[in-house]
Amino acid sequence: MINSEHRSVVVIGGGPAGLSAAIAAYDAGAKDVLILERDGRLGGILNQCIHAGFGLTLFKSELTGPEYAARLIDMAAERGIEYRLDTAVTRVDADKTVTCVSREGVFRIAASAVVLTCGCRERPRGAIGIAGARCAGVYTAGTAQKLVNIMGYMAGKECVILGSGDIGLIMARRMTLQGAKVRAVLEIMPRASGLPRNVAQCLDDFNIPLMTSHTVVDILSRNGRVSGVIAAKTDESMRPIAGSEFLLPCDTLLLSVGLVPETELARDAGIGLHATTGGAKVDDSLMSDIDGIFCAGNMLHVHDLADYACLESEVAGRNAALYALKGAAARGKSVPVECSDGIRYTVPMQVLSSASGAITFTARPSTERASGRICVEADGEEIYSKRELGIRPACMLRLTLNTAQSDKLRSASRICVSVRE
Amino acid sequence: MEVTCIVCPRGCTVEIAHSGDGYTVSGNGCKRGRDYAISELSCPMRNFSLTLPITGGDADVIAVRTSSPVKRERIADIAAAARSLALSAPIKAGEIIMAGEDGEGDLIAVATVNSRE
Repeated sequence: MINSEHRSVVVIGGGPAGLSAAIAAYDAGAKDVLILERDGRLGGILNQCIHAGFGLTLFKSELTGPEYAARLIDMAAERGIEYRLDTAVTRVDADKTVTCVSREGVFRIAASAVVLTCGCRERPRGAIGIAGARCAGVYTAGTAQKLVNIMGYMAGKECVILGSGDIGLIMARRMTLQGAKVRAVLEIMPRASGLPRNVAQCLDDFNIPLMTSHTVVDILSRNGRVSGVIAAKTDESMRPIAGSEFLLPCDTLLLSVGLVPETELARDAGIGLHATTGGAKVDDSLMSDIDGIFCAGNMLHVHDLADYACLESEVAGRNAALYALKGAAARGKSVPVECSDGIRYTVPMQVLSSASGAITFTARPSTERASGRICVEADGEEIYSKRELGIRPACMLRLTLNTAQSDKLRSASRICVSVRE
Repeated sequence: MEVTCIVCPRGCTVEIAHSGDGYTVSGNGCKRGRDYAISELSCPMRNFSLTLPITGGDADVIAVRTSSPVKRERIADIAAAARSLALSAPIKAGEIIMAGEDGEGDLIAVATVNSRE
């Protein structure tokens, strides 16, 4: 095994989060930052997202995924940031040794700091337990997206989509525009889980029915290929209602039933995971509970916008560079962030008492409200409040606290985030 | 009429009605939402993307997008016309693949497809 190299910061994953983290680390002084990417090119999942809608916050224009990726790749290239493609990381140790495999074989890199930006995975058929034929024609929406947008294969001619996540909605439009028929999008919950604008422009524009409180209970096949699905209505506890079943003929079933952070490396490293997000537990420097290992992007929690994943990753990259260059300071005390009334989780989950600087929270609402105030309290005192319209679980909230507000949080012994009237 | 604004990810639900010579608009979080709702009432416009087959390239398909919004009712026609194009590599990102009609957006390449080595 080759074991020679040292880097101040190693970034694992070259998607939008990894590129942003590497750029921020470089700008903070880590000139020898290295990106490791298992695919044959940088850009990650953006490469297959050919629809426009990316970049309104970061680049002030509406870009497609590949255009957005190209901007980040150009920014990395201007800085001469090094990267290795076709290089899969197989292990990250708590001492920040990164083990990789590429065509050159297995090798190790010793890093002062590591940023994990491994993205997320789609929940597959096995994760939701649909009965029926084990036949061809069942794909996750992202797999179909790669088949159609990158490889040029039509995933099917007549589709049913289960789940109304954004990728499923986007694929409903994509399949239609490529000449397929999309019969329906079924959603087990009483409301769509993707962004409202995607329901409008991907389903409503093409008269594709969104059947909420519906699911698939059986998959039928003929000659080894999907020939239809049995759909059923669901009750409040999301159980199929007996007697409500009906047949939807189709040759393809696309699944858009949720994303989960890709935490294989994090788990093996011994990083503590959060029960709600499924990603790492981090403090406000986005450092995990292992010193010098930082996490950001969809690997930390699933974002609904690439812009937000990038902004978050800049924080992780910058702090990784500072950690690498200044050496590890004792971490000190941290205060957990409590979520109540209408907030499902926040990132970060802990605030460092001894640190300094402004804190940005992202918060996921748990319920839908026409309007409300997002409040942050320190020891019962409201120190931040922002009115929001159209609060929904599908839309992540960003709370940008200033330095004075953040300092108050750092000296508190109880921190609480909630939605108020 | 109720319109879901697609200008940004916030997706405001905007209520719009004719009122005299103008419109009454409510529920929009910003001015762009008002403009969007008005255009929805008169002539809905959309951006969209497609993949098209390409020969002689390092990829078998090329992704294209509208450079600016086109009339929603014309999406299917534009997509059908584009699918009948015979494209060959190389094509650079941003290159016009099919010019728009009546001042509408062109179809442009989203990413570069190089010639096969």
